[in-house]
Formats: sequence, C-alpha cells, structure tokens
Amino acid sequence: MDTVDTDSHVPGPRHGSPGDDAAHAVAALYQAHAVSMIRIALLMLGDRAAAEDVVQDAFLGVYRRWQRLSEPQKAEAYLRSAVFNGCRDALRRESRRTRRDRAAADHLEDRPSAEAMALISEDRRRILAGLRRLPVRQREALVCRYYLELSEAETASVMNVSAGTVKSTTSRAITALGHMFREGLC
Amino acid sequence: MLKENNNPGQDDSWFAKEAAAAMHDYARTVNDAPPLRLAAGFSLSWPRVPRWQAWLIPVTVAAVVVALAVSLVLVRDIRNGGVLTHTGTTGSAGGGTVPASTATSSTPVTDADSVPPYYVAIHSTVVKATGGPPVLLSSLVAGDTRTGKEVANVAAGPGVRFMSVSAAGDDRTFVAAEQIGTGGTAPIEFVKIRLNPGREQVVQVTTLPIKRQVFGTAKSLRGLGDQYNVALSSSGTELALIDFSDNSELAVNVFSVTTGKLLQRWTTTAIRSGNLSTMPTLTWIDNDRELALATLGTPTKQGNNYLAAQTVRSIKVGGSGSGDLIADSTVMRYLLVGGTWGKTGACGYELEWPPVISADGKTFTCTTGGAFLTWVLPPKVTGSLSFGIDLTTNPNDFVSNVLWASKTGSTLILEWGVETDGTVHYGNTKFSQVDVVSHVKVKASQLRFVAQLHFPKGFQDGLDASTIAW
Repeated sequence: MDTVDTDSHVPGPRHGSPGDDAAHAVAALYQAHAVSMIRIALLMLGDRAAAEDVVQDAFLGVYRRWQRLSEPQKAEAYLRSAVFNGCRDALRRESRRTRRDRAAADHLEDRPSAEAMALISEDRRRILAGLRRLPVRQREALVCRYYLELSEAETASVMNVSAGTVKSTTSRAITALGHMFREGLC
Repeated sequence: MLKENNNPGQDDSWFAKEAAAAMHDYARTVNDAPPLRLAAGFSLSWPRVPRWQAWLIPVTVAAVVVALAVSLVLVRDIRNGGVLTHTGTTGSAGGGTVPASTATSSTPVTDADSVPPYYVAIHSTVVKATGGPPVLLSSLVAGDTRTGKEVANVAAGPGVRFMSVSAAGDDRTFVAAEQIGTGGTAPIEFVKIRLNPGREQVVQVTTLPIKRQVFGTAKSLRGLGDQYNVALSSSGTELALIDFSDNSELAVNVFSVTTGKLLQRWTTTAIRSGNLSTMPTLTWIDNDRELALATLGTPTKQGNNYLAAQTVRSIKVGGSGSGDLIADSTVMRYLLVGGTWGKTGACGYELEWPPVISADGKTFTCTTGGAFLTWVLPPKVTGSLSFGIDLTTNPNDFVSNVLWASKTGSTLILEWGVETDGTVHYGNTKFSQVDVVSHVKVKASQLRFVAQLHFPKGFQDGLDASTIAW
C-alpha cells in the first residue's frame, strides 16, 4: 500500500484543533477510504465534484470529532454514514434549484466522466440514468444493497429505517427502475 | 420516442443484477481522490491512489443496526389445541389462491406438527456510544416459544458476527455460522449450541472441529439470499454447506459435526451463478437420507409473465455416489414461478427466497410479496400450485416470510406484516404478526391460525428461515 508523506504539510498543533495525531490518523483513513467513499457519493449524486465535496466534508467532520470518537477503529462506519447524510443534504439543496439550473446540472453530470462512461454498456448507462431519477431513499437503498452489498439489517442501520422498509423500498426502486427502462424514460 | 424493451430476460431480478453491475462500473470510474483539506490553508498532499482491485473495496459492515430480535411468543398450549381467533384467514384446496375470510377452526394440532418449544434466533443490535460511531453487537437468543421468555443469550466475541442458524430435530441442538471479521473473505466457523432448560448450565456453546471455511459466496448473487445458509441434519450429527463462487463450480459439502471431517462432496458446473437469481439452499429430508437442493433460475418472459424455474433436487447422502451433483441427484420438484411480483399467486422470487421444505420432503412452502402462501405437494414434479392463501386484501403493501415448517409441512410459522406509510408495522397486532398456522393437509375448512407469536416492543423484521430456527 502506498504511504503518504505528510511531514511537509501537516502543521503543528493549533489552538482548538485536534492536533497532529488526529491529522495523521484522518490522513490514513483518507488514504484507505477516500476512493470508496467518493464512489458511494458519486452513485448517490451522479456528480464527481459534488461527491468529492461531500467526502471532504465527511473527513473534516471526523477530524473535528476525532478526540470524541470512542472507537476510532469504527471511523469507517461513521464516515459512510456521514457521506450518506452529506449526499442527502446535497440532494435536498439540489431539489431547491430552479428547473433550469437542474437541467444544466444534469447536462454537466455526464461530461467529466464521459470517457469512462463510454466503457459502460448502453443498458447500464440507461440504468444509471434511471438511478439518478429515483427518489433519494430508493437510490440509497439500491446503493447499500447492491453496491455495498449490505444486508437488509445493515442497510436499515445506515438509512435509519426498519429492515422491512428497506425490503419494500428496494423492491419499489427496482420496479421503478424497470418501469423507466421499459418505457424509455431513462 | 419510446425505447422498446424486447429482451425477455429483463425482469426485476435482471434489473437488480444490472443495477449492481452498472453501479460497480460507474464507481470504477473513480480511481483517485483529491488532496485532503482538513481546514483552510491546511492540506495534506496526496498521491494518486492506485487502481484498486474489487476485492479491496471495503464491503465491511459498519454502522449496522438491526433487527432480528426475537423473543416472543405465546402459544397457549398448542398441544391442547389452544386456538386464538384470527380475522382474515382461510384457504382453499384444489390449487390457486383464495381471498381472506373470517374462518377459523378448532382442529387440534397433532403432536407431530406441534411447534417446538424452543427457538434460537440471531439478534443484532447497535449501541451508539456518546460521540462515537455505532457498534454492532451480535448474539444468539434462545427463547421459549410457549412463554416468550428468553432462555439463554450467547454473545459473539469481538469482531465476530452470527450469520445463520439451523436446528436439529431434537429442538435442543443448534448450529450457528459465525463470521470472523468482515468482508467476503472473512472466514466462517461453526458453533454448536446445546440447550439444557431447567438445568444449572442452560446453554453450552462449543466450537465445532470443522475448519474455518472461506467458501465461495457468488458475489453476483449477494444481497438476494443468505450466503451462509447452514443445514444441520435432524440427528444433529452432520452439517451441510454450499460453496458457490461466481464463474466456478457449485459444491455441496457435508461435514461431521463430531469430528469436523468432510464426509461427502458433490460438485457441478452445470448450475451456474449467472443463471440463478439467488443462492441455492439446502434442507435435510427423508430422515437425513437425502439433501434437498433448491435453486431459483433467472426469469424469462413468456407472454405477459416473467417466469423463473424453481428446481428442487434430492441428493442421496451416505451412498457411494460419483461426486457429480447432477448425476447423484434427481429432480423432485420443478416449478415455473413468478409473474408480476405479488400478483399471480405463484411463489415469488428473490425477496421471498428461500422456500421452506418440510423434513419429509413432501411439501414446499413459499410466499410472494403479495401475500400468497402456498404449499406445493409431490408427487407432481411439474404443475401448478396445490394450495394457497391470500392473507390480505392489499397485496401490494404486504410482506411475508415462512420461518419454519413442521415435519409434514402442515403447520407453519409465518411472519407477515402490512406496510403503511413506508413502514412495516411489526409488533403491532393491528398490522402484523408472526403466526403459527395449520392447514392440515389441504382441506380448506381446516386451515386456521393456531396462535400468534408476540414480539417485544422495538422488534424489527428481518427474520427468515436462516436467522431463526426451531
């Protein structure tokens, strides 16, 4: 595994800041989990830049709370929850945009990853487009269940709902995805 | 202009798989991360993250909560025919499903079909420490079916999580699979739980001598079925497991519970993960002389319906077989199931998997999201459903699972619930319950709800036949 040379970049302890230990620990966490967290946020948001922002905020939150983390080894779980929360907030903010703004955002979504997207089959590109049209909770359920491969119970924990709701939400999401796909809506 | 979908295989299971694949494809477009900035003017430089292999992606279980509680119960003396009235029941012989009515019956349940007095269930809960991340606590809860009282509680060690549980025929011996660590490559080991109600040492827990398994779990099927189903023989002396990796052979292994030795192994490449909707399941039948292997194919479109082949094979155990799973087994049940989810009265697929096969190998019980409960009886190898019940008039808002079947399959424990406002109301008798039901063969007039099992406040659903055992 690559290591990170942080010596020339990590400042000394600052008043009111968690300090070097936290910075190094969070840097290590970032090394280990940044890409996977950005991937989750990308699936939720469909926007690489927004995904990176959400993940930055999540790590910053961990850094600020580092000294209060009773089990730092569980930080990954905390991070994932923070990323999902950040995505919900980002999507809520997005939903407040004007229709024109949203259309512009949709147009921009595909551009940064156009080359990579070209490697994805047409069917899957349509499914991804459908995924972005699903309600946030349904999208979250699919990401947890089919991308992160969490169990219903684990997904329930992340989404803070009952496992039964996870089951029904997942089913409805798949059904909706199928409907959009068959009707040419994505 | 509408895009036409002419692919007959594009059903919900197809979309589930394709959604998973599409998300992985899309996620893989991210291979690096920008420098971490923890505060204004304060950044940590960051080399480009190398392309990660899929197996490095943390699939860990993090914040987990859950579910699976179980304590329960009640059953006012089932053996004496204690019957609780229940509105909205009934059944019909002769195939198909019938709507609910208010019929009940006082037909006593025979001893052979009584609900066993003890269960063991996996219970997971999350403790949220102040200011810290949630911590998953995994345990096995043994309970008294009749009183609802907890008999014993076995907590998993640090970093260990119970995955599935199976019961022997004596209702005192159970085996649980526990995962050591997290992630798909974390090994599984097996523990025996022996209940001694009334004795000083109520429960004995022993790690089985079976070596830790890192068996295949067909990742393409993950999330659609339990990956770590274990099947303990009725005698409690043998443990059957499935080892099934993507693009690999399907293997059925039988271990000695006493010595840990691998007793028998069957393999085949004829059953491919790509052709299935979810993981196969195993059930011991015919007094431990055979194993029933149930597989569920991917759906295909026929007319307006999407149908999937549900196949149950019986494998002779203890014989001098060739080791070829196909050659050493026979198809005991083949059924095309499915159609529109919750609409057809046929067995559902994926979410309602697995079916529960009775120990005598003569009944096959499954549900659909639409609330139909069915029994399919041999000797028909193919054909339509033999029996069904419609438990609700609002099938779209219904969830159900068969948790247990008696030896003859005529008594069942069924979890079902009505969903309103996006929430399944378990623990609220107005909306949901776990019931003991008996149809006494297929005579509709004798179908009845024997008793309702109670759950403590806060119970969440998530039980299935692999997370609770009687």
